[in-house]
This record gives sequence, structure tokens and C-alpha cells, in this order.
Amino acid sequence: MRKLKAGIAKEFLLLLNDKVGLGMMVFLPILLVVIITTIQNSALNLVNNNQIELILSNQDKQALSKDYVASLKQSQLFNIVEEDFSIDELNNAINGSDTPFGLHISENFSATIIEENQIKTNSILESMGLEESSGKKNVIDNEITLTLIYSPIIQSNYAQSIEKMVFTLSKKLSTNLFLSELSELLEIDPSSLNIDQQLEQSNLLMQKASVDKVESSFPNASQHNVPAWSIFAVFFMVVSLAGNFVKEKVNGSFDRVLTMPSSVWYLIGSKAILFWIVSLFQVILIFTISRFLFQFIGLPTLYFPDNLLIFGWIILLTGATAVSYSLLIGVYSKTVEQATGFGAISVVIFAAIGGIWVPSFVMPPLLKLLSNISPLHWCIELFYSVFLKGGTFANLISPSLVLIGMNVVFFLLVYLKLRKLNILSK
Amino acid sequence: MNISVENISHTYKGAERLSINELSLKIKSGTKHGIFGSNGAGKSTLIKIICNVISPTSGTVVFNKKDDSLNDVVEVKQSIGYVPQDFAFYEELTLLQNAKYFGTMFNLTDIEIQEQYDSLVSVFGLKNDQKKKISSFSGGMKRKVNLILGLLHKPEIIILDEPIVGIDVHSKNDILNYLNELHQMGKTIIYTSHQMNESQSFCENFTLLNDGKNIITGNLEEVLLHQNKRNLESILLDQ
Repeated sequence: MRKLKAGIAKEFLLLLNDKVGLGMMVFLPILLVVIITTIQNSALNLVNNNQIELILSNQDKQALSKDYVASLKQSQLFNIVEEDFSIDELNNAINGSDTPFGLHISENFSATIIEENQIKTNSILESMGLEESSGKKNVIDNEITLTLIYSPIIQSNYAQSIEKMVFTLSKKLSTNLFLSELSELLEIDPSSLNIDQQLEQSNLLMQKASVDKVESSFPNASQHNVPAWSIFAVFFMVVSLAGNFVKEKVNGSFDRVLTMPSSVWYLIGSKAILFWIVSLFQVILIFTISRFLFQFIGLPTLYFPDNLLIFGWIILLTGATAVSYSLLIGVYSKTVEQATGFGAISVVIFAAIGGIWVPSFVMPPLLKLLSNISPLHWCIELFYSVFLKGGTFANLISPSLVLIGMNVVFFLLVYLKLRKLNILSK
Repeated sequence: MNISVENISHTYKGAERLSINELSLKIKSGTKHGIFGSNGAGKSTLIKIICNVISPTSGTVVFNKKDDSLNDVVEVKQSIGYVPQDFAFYEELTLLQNAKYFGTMFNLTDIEIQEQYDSLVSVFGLKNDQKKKISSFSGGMKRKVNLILGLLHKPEIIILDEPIVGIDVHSKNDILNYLNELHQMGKTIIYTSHQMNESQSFCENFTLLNDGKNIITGNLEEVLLHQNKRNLESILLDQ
């Protein structure tokens, strides 16, 4: 026990003296979590809360286009700047500014909608036998009346959502006109029908509800990003731990220990224990900052799960897995560069396929399958289970067993390598 | 304590040739024994095998105390002080912090560590540098640190791999003088160096290695006669 304590004390002093390593393990993760959460929070705000900047060029002078512009404004989705631009000029304006969208209403907008509605009305009246076939054209020409221009930096799925909004408003205008015309033909006063009101009114209600029925766990940027990037930060200890282990092998201090009447497990155990404690500290620090300080920098507060025992188990298991993986890399690497390079890149890859950046359920089938080999995937499963789904111990059994299995495999591989090197018999 | 190296061989993984080839050797208790050879002759590998850092592919190393062979690995390890060629310590820590760690690994109590540390720091003139990190030390000071850490537990056998390489004359004299003092106290010293003049005057017995084999073991006259040379340096020049 005295040797283990001496080893832990030595590792602690080495860590304290390694300012860069310490910074990487304590301050960079906090910075990472704050930056990623801020970015995603502003992206969510842009979509959900903010008005979208839109340059509007209306080349149609008729009433319908004015109604359409009014409906765009009333939707409160857009912050509209009106300009008199051709399509090319609008293109240039979007390219040369931060405004993400431009909408060009062509001069035939109103005429096309009116013509379309006349054809529809005639067609209906003919089919009802109320009007004889006039021989007029009954096919609507494909006329481009609206052109939505978007900045190339806008993601296509976001652009598609905006396109649907713009199109839906024009469709509503057309439907409104169609019903008005139809009612006039049927000699009914359109104003008595309150068409607008009727179209808006619906008894179909929709409610949003989180699976754990807890309001606090509705997805927000902190609830998603803090656990995910904390796991990433914990696993990034591979750079310090594996690098530190290889450094000792290379500079001969490992050999010196082998000449001493002490087991090599004291050396490995003291590193494992210290870095395990550091991982707990990292997670507790990041989560505490997210819980109590995020609100002061405009980020959503992180809500802790009710069951802190479960939370504690998850942190311990995540830390243990990061430690065993780092030791594995350290034992098998021959140079510090190998350990830090391979260690860091492997963690980035495991993070990517493990669902740290984007959830694994949106990945293609092969990557979804591969995500099962990522320890980070099983860690995030555990965290999301309690942070977003209100999971109980029963929900944690399966991912916990996988992680325990991974720990056993990592330590077994460490043991086999040390045995192969005849180090364990020393 | 006598050391008998009995017919050992060793090969590194992936290497085509044996680094040690059926080598036998006896080192008498209380002697200063030099092991020499050109680069790649097998000196460091032999030392690592004696120190139990690596295991021989075949053969054994036997430690005899009086007439009994020592089978207890812990007792053997406790008897050996290994001073490797590399600076095998933690440069980011102070000398005392290193001493506390390595001393504890040698089963020394805190009091024993402090006493031996104070004594060795005084011998090697590092008293004024105790609070500095070793990374700020000169090459000569680091050699002394390497030696101090190998001597903390007062070993009976001191095994030194190039202990005076790359250091100034004063540091070299400090180290060799102290090693002579230890020898006078009855310690066995096993020594390798490329600095043949110092080695020739420091050691009593010599083993000449070539391609992992023991070419000859004996005192200076015996070795020079066997090789028909006037000094050790000329033997190595011909290898």
C-alpha cells in the first residue's frame, strides 16, 4: 500500500509539473464544452427563436404579390429587407453578404396564380355540368414565379425547410383565391364564408412530450453536448497517460523499477488510480460549471438526473474505461509519438462513430454497426439514458455490461503484452 | 556476493543474430569488474540480464552469498544497484521527490531514504540544488543523480552502464572517487564504459565481449597478453 501511495504521489507531482498536460486535461475540456454548446445553442436559436434574414425582390406590381409579401411578413419567420433586384443581382447580394436567403417574385406571379385558378375553376364547373366545355386551355403552364436563393454555407436540409415555408404561404394564397372565385361563381358572398379564418382553424392539436415526461430534459444544447464532450475530454487522457507511460519505458525509469523488489503493477496501478481520479474531477468540474455557471454566459442550464447514485456509477465506469484504453495504448506503443498520435486519432474516430458529434441513429447501417466497437458510444448511451431519458438502473445494465467487458478485454491485452515481455515475472 | 553467469543466450525480437551467445562469466565478490567491447558487443544486454530487466533466452544467472546460492528474487534485487546509461528518473521532479519514490520501491522507510539521501547529496555536492527540478541540471549533475538513485538502498552489487559518459572532469573524478570508496567498503562493482583509459585504471578484472561472446575474462595483464596488445583501447580499435 505504501508503494502504491508513493506511486500515486509521484504521478500527481508529475501531472502538476506538466502544465500543458494539466491544461489539456482541465481547461481545454471546459473550453471545448463551452464552445460546442455555444455553437449548437446559437444554431438552435437561429432555427427556433430568431427571424431569418431575407432579401425580397418583388417584380410583380399586382395585388396578389403584395398580399403574398404581407403574409410573409405576418408569419414573423423572416426579417425582410425589400430591394428591387433581378435574379442575378439578388444572387450577388446573397453571395456578398451574411444574409442567408433571397426571394425573387417574378412579374408574372399574380397573373400565373389567377390563370391557374381560372383553369381549376373551369375544370370543376365543367365536371359538375354547370358549364359547357369552352375549349379554353385546361393545362397550367409550368411558370417559375418564385426563386429562392440561398447562401452556399446554408445546410441543404435547412434550406429545404425554408423553401417549404415560402411555398406553403404561396399555396395558401392560391387556395384562398380559388375558394373565393368558386364561391363567387356559386353566387355566395366570399366574405360571409370567412375563408381565411376557416383555413386557419383546426381542432387537431399537437403536444410535445419528452419520453421521461420531465420538462427539463427537453433537448437543449447543454443536455446533449455537456455529457457528449465530457466523455470525449475524459478519453483524451490517452495523450497524457499513454504518453507518460511510454516516456518512462523510453527513458529507462521503467527499467529501473524492474530492477527493484516491487511489482510492475504498482507502477501501472498508481497511474491508473491517479488518472481515474482525474477523470472524475474532469467530469464533476465540467458538469458543475454547466449546472451553475452556464446561465451567466447565456447558455441553457444543465439539469442533473434525480438519481445521483446512477450518475456516479456512470462517471466511474466512463473514467475506468478511459484509463484502461489509455493503458492499452501506452503498453503497446513503442514511442511517445505513436502513443499520443494513435491515441488521439483513435479517440477522435471512436467519438465520430460513437455518436459524440452526431447521434449514431442517423448514421448509415455500416457505421451504426461499427459504433458498437466504440467505448465512447456505450458511455454516451449511459449518459443519455439518465440525462435525456430518465433511465433507471435497469436501463443501464446492458451498456454497463458492454463497458465492463471492454475494460476486461483492455486489461487482459495489457496483461498479455506484459507477460510476453517477461515483465510480470520480474 | 559472487555472480555466475552460466551459458546464457539472448536474442531481441525480430533480430537475426543473438545479442548474447552462450556466454559464461564469473564475477568475484568485492571486485571492480569491467565489461568491454565495441558497440553492439552485448554489454548493455548482459547488464540488463544480470539486473533482471530482461530475461535470457537460455541459461541462468546465479548469485552466491558465501556458499549458498540466492534464490529469492526480492533478496537478489535488494542487493543490486543498477545505474543505467540513460537518465532513468523523472526530470520534472526534484532529486528528493525522485529519491522518495525510488527509495520506497526499494522498501526503504522514509527515515532511511532521508538519511541516505542527505549523505549522497553531500558526497556529490548537490546540496544547493535540492529544490530545483532535475530538468534544470547539467549533464554531469544528472549523471550524479542517476548514480544516487542507484545507491539509495546501499546495494552490495553496483552495476554501472556508462556512468561517466558526457560529463566534465570534475564530475568524473567525483563519481570515480566515490565508487572507489564503495569498493573499499567491500562492494562489488560491475562497470562498462567506452572511456578506456579511465576503465583501465579503475577496474581490477575485465571481460572482453565480441558479438555477444566472452572472448576473455581476467586481470589487465591476462587480457592484454591474450590479445597481444599494449592497452585496452587498442583491443577495441581492432574489433
